[in-house]
Amino acid sequence: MNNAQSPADQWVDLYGDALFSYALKFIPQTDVAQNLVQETFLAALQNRAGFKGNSSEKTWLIGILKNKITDHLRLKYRETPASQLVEDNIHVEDFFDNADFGHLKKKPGNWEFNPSALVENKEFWGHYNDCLEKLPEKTAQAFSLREIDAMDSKEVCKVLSITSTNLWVLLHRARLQLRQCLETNWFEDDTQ
Amino acid sequence: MILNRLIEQLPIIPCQEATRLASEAMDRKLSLKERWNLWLHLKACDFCTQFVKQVHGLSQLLHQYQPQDEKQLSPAAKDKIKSAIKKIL
Repeated sequence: MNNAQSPADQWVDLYGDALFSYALKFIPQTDVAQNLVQETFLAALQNRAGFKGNSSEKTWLIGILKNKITDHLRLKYRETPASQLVEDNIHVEDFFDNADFGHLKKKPGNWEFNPSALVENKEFWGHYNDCLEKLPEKTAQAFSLREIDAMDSKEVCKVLSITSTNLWVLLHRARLQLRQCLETNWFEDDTQ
Repeated sequence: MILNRLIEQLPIIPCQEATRLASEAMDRKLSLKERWNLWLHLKACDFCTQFVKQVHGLSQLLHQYQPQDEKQLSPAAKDKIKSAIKKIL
């Protein structure tokens, strides 16, 4: 038996986790995310000629994965009945006081997202994932498509089969909840 | 001073509405009236001013996101992918 790793095996070892981490930002079900990673590798191998070498191999693979993710979501939501479109298990009013101005219940802390300190901080992104997982599925997907994939709002609406008004509601909830979760679990956590 | 006193006399939207407008401003163009209401609110509210800074910061950070291995495929999942690849090679 030949136990030496084939180049394809090395590829999976080298990029598998990054692709999986990316997929989980859009797809909360690990088995579905794994399948999309697998499809990405297969599509990439069948289309090696498509790799022009003017971007890194990783960037090229992420590009293929992005398309797999949006195709998957399009198909999934094309079949969803309209009555299930807006999830309402996050209540915006819960974030605010009833009195006076209706301030946020807890004053936002004196911290900022410092990209140079955070963008390569694996521990931060682990916490980010935990916070994202607490959002309702479609809310998280709307947010990730808009912010990570930087997709145009109209395009996000098409992928998720929702109206613009629905999208704005989901994004407002996502920003309220994610900001608060990251404040609690990262910026105010003394164990960092 | 005069401006601040004037602002206090104007009707100001509540924070829930202000954060909604601030969020929507990231995804669509607000009307003139909406922009005025948001601006006026932020002049008077530290809470929402900080909120807006932070959600903008989050957005900028996410635009730069490059996946690493913050989440990992299980060894079984990796083996499954590797054998799927072997089948087509």
